Amino acid sequence: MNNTKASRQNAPMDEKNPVPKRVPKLGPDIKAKIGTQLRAMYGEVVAQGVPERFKAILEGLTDEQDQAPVDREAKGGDPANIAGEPEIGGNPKI
Amino acid sequence: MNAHKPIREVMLAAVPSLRAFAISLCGNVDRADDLVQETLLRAWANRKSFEPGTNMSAWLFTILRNLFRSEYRKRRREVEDSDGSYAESLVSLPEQSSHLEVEEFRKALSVLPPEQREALILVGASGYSYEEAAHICGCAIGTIKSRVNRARGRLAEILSIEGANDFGPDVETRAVVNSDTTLVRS
Repeated sequence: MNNTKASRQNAPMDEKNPVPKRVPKLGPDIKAKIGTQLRAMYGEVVAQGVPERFKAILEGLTDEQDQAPVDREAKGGDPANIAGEPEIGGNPKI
Repeated sequence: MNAHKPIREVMLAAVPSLRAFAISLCGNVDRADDLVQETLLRAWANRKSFEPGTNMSAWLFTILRNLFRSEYRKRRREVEDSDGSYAESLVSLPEQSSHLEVEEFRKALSVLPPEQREALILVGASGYSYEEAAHICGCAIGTIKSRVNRARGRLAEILSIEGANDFGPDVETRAVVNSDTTLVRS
């Protein structure tokens, strides 16, 4: 029963189009359930606090540590482009 | 020199949610922690490009998100196949998240296309507004809304949330989540 439903409702993957062709209406109860699960999953990690590893990293940061040293993967170029990704919106399907 | 102490403190305070975001994105604690580390280092190295008065947490999320996306693309290119390298890289999380429901939810989430996953997490778990999430993902608000909506719809299907049916996925769904990784691209 679920199978037929799943195949029928496969959402169109036209991510570039901000207006969805047809998104099935979801009741507030479903949204609530998903929200609860989502926050439980997320909260589980948040509750772990800050692992030592990161405290050490942050303590180790010095004022001298500017641009160059950490950008080992940046392919030369735009320092403003922190993550080394030229465009973020309208990605092609990946 | 205490000039940057506030920045450091904000970064420290952001670590738990950055980790939660990263783990939700890539489904692998080790990879996620590397991602967070890289994010912190890049943020620090580029701290001068941060605009004071804007939300630093959102700025950090943006860096992390972009790092993840470029890494994801790189991997995708390396393993250019349709059999879901993401799902393969998804290892079971350590005991800390032994909660079965959460595990199942993570698996279901991993089936979503990354752009839907990130949108849903930002809005549904990180607590960002649609506008902030759109800014982080570099797209229009309407796009975020539709991605979140699709993500919810898809999760509802995968987890067979329907009316009285409770959350526990049945065997069928489990099989789908575990083996039919082509779903990622459908």
